[in-house]
Amino acid sequence: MKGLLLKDYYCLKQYLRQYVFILIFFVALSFLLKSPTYLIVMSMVCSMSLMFASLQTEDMGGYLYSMTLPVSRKMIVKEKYLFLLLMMLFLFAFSVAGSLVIMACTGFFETGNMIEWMAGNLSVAWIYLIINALIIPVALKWRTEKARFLLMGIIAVPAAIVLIMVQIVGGESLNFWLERLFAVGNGLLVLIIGILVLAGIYAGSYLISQRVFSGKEF
Amino acid sequence: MDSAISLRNVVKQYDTFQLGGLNLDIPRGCITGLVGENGAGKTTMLKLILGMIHKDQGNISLYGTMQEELPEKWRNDVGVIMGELDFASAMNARQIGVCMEHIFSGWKKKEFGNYLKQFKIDPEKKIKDYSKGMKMKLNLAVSLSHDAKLLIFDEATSGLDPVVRDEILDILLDFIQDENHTVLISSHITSDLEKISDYIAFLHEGKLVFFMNKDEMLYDYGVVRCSQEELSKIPREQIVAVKKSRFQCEALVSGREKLGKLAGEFVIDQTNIEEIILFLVKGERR
Repeated sequence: MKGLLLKDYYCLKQYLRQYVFILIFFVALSFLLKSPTYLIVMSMVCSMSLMFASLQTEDMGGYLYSMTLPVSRKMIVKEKYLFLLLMMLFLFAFSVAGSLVIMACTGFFETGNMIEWMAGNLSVAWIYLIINALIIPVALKWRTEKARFLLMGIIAVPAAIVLIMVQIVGGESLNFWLERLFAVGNGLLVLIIGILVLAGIYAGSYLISQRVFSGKEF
Repeated sequence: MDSAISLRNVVKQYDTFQLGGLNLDIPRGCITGLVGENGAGKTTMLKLILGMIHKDQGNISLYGTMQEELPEKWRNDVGVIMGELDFASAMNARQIGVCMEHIFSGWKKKEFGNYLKQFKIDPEKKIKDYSKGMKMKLNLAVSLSHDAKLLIFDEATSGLDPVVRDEILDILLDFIQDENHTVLISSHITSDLEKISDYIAFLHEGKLVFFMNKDEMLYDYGVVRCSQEELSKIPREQIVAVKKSRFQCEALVSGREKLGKLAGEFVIDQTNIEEIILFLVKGERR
């Protein structure tokens, strides 16, 4: 496992410098916009881009090479999930730390709403983790290029659903129901549902990926 | 002789191509060369042995153990060259070594370092800046640095200059000095296989045409160049394949020694693997 993780890390290391510059740019922009959440959103976008880069590298013979090594197919899939999760967590932790610094400098602690900020960050992380979980099995089955199309679908479909619901139920009514839902246990219910949905989607994604990879030919 | 790899009625079916049913025993302690045209099924066969693709029928065993029953980390004993490390273009040889140290249980860091020195590979140079020969040498260094018993190389010498190829062939000859070591190598460069192989397996359109001891094959087969009329004097059972032109016939014959009794009427030339393959593919088979 460690060897495969290192392999993935070294393969992505080539992008390290450019992503460090991008993140520094976002830190500066967040500071100027006085929006610490902006940094978190953009770092998650970076993690998405890095995920595609990592999956693309595997398409270029990475899986084929791994199959010549003493590692099982199950291990290759397990490592891929772990690596992408670690990468996302690292970027999330970095952006939260960066946001805290920005908040301290801009006086957000005195004027801003910390609970809203926390909820916003967790929502962003949740969305990107879901995208991660949906993309990996598709990339394993049909390669990364097709997974990019799926990404467009992932963004377009929920947006379309929300728009349709607004049209059907009405914006105010939808807001009312959502506010009532978030009020239950001070948002605890939504948090628990979110965690359960995420865990369910991840478990399903992992099992599908294992199945796809066990039948994959190189 | 013990088999390192055994294939029994192995079939792999694709939409437009079928490999098999292959029945083949790759002897332990020998170098077996796998030859055939592009698309003959060489890589497919090697991938089947390595479990990279799934067979549709038959059994494959390695060192007496069925493929399905092999331990999870059985590739610790196998050195493989397949592909050109394109995915790792951003890595360098030192980083490859660090990864392999955590992947192969029998990784020999010092030996890997020695191979890098021997092959004049700069451990810090990025793989994307390597020549094709350098990439192949790095692959070779990896496959030889973890105490492998079996080497499976797919076109490991293709596209390399004669000096590098010769160096690789010498290493393989050195590797095979241990009687428990086995090499299975596919190549289009039949002269390379002629230099080092003990056995030759020839695949054509997914079927195994022959598997023979190389020395016996080269001793047994010969080429007769004669007229159509003279050709009829050669016993039919000894004619393997014939190529006809306007002015003469060329026949690949077996049992050269036996045919030698007819000497005087024909000249029986020595042949080589390439010529035998060309006869079998392009000639009229008898």
